[in-house]
Amino acid sequence: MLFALVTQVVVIGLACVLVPVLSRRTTPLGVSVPSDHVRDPQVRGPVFAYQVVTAVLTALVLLASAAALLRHTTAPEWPFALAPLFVVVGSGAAYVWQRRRIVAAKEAGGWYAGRSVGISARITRDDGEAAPAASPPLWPLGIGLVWLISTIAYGAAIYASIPDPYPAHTDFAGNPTRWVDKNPFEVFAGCAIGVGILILLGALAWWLPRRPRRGLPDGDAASAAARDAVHLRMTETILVWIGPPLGVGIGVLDLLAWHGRWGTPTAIATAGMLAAVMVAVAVPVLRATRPLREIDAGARPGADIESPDDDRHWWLGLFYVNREDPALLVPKRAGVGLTLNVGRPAAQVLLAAMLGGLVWALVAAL
Amino acid sequence: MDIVIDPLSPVPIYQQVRDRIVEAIAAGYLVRGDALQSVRTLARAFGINPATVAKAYETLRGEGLVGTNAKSGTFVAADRDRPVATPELMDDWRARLFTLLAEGRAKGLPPQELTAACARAIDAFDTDAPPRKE
Repeated sequence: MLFALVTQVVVIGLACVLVPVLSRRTTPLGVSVPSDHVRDPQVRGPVFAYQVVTAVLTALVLLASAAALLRHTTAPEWPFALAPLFVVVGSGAAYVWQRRRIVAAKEAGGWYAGRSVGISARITRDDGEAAPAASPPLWPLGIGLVWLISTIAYGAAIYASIPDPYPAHTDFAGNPTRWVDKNPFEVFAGCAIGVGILILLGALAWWLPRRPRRGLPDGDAASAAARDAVHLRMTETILVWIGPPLGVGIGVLDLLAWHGRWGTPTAIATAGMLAAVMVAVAVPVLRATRPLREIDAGARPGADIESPDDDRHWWLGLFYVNREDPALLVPKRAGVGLTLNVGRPAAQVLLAAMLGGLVWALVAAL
Repeated sequence: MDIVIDPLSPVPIYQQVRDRIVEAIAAGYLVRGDALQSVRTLARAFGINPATVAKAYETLRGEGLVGTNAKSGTFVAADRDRPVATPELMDDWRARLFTLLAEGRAKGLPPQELTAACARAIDAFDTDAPPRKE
């Protein structure tokens, strides 16, 4: 369990520290700034402060959790499962706190006064000049899918020999903590959910390069486009390569449960799956930081028009709220990936469902 | 090809979309038969209300510059080398041109400047044009 805790806290803390590197250069800490102000001390100072606070917070949470775990081996586990959440919430608080300094400097300095701003988009449906968007190879997701479907088939074949009652939940040591009467829903829910998640990941990976491109020039359209391309490749890679560890991991955990192999084997399998998923996310992110830095270093502020100051649509610089925008998913302002347009009713329903699921999972874990 | 709008401009967004398409046709970047993005796709790309894009397309349809059918969607219906304007459309255009030039004159621009500005705009349509498609 200590291994799982350390891995999660370190990776999440590192991801939070890297948010400014991964984000668009003209939206430091979620604040729109013109390209020629990106390197101002009034911008770099708060960004650096955010990174330092996040790094220190991560170290403190790690030390405190590890010390408590080592000291109280029989303590309840759920506080330690919340340690990564402390890092995220604390990092978010630092983000909101420091971005206010940039907002204040922008308003006091009138940074956007008299600027030419704009958004570009393709007006023609078949340009004939650019190759059609291509999805990334989806075969890694196929590995996870094949494993899960094979596991389900195997489980159906040996269903009679699966333990009854069946363990509905295990602790971090891999020991069952809640039992239910054996039924197909409980036995196959894990694999079924895994199949659903992998199909969703595949659909996202297929759709991402095909979504309408919103051209934000950021003062240098060529650099902005290059950055978008790096982001797209990174996101596609994450979506596709999360598949194998997730699919295989879920399948292995169910196989262990079906054969009554609780305790250490389950704990090792859980920790291994979490570590493999973290690696599948961390490697593309780390590989993208260098090209992103090089693109930013070569950017020519003022070469093109600036992107519009649309802070009014970004609550706290984190949550996109725009009822006029029909897009359900838009690029995040902080870090990599997509975020929901909370101004859309469909997004509000999705968000409520996700939060409800999270609360249910936390309550079930207690 | 791409067009650019400014969501914070005092010019209505539908007007900006309409104007950019008109300028692209005038410069030869868009020719008769070119397929335009659907209302929803363009709205998603710009992050604007689909009704705004629909209004821009509707305005262009009224001017005879774009057309729509169930099979092809919205497409360019005009070409700078092939006149399509009806007498009514031309009268409307001349009236708007008269008012626009009057606006410049009312603000003190001398006649020579108005003429030169018109000439520069017409030159730009040909100077910026892409190579002719065979």
